[in-house]
Amino acid sequence: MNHKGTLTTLILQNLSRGSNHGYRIAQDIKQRSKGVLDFKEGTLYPALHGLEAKGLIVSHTAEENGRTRCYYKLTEKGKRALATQKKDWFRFSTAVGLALQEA
Amino acid sequence: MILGLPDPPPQTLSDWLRTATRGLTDASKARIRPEIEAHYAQAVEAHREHGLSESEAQMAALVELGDAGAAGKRFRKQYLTIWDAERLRKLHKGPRSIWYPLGCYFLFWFVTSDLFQFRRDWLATCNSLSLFLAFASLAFVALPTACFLVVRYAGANPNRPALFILSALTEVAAYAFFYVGCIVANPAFRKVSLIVNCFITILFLGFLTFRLLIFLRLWNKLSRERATNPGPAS
Repeated sequence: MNHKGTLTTLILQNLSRGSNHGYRIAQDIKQRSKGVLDFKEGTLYPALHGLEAKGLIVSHTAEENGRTRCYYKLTEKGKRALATQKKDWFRFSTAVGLALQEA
Repeated sequence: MILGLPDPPPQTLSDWLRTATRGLTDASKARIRPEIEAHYAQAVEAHREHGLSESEAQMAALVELGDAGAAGKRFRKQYLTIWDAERLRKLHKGPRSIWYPLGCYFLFWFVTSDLFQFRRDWLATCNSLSLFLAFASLAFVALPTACFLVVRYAGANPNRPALFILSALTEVAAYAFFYVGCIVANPAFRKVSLIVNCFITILFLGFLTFRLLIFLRLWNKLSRERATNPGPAS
């Protein structure tokens, strides 16, 4: 099943808990979804940069364990977008759940 | 890729990055590579902590990166490619020279003098002369002049969005001029059947849409490039 449509929502949700870098975002998502959602770097970073271009997140560089990392942080616009996307997702998943129920 | 054959699977991070960033500009590569390298290094470290040897950890981290070719396709959709950069370079190069607007003015003079001197019969039966002249003025006088002024007087860093929009408008005006001149205003085409006229109109619109989509795609990439340039933490 193609989960890429949910990636931006998951990234925004992850960043709502605090700023993070790409590796930890991917690991957090994988851990919280119990391994079901395992996004590769070739998908994750274009999504991150796309969100940054839309102004939903901002990036800054910082040192971590002697390594320069690019951290991302949610903006106010990103918080509003996250609220909308979560509402849409819950509505969609409820509808699908209802449609899949046996009569 | 050699002779159209796919690359062998990458054995190292360098191979993966070479495939994934193929065709991108140096600036685009500089945006992508450090993040992927840092991500890979941390993945290798995590695998080492789980008891894997160095080579096993590197292989596992490489597998986690995913398909380099598929990643490359996504990167080329999002970031400026060498082809995009060449297109942008030509956008600046043409209007920089004084011959660019002069050449366009000459074309305008040539078309209008040809019309008014040698095709009076065409003029007499033309039903969209004002539209024809309007598009000709836009495509060969107003917009090329604006492009030239933006490039010449904006200094070392010409206003790229303005130049971009002006170039797109110039192209639209040029297509509209040819369409109006060849089809709408041309009495000869009134004799052609409606179906042929529709077909030619659809062809023009299709080609113009295709050109505008290329501009739009380039515009999106330029916007992303301006928006995504991380700096040090404030």
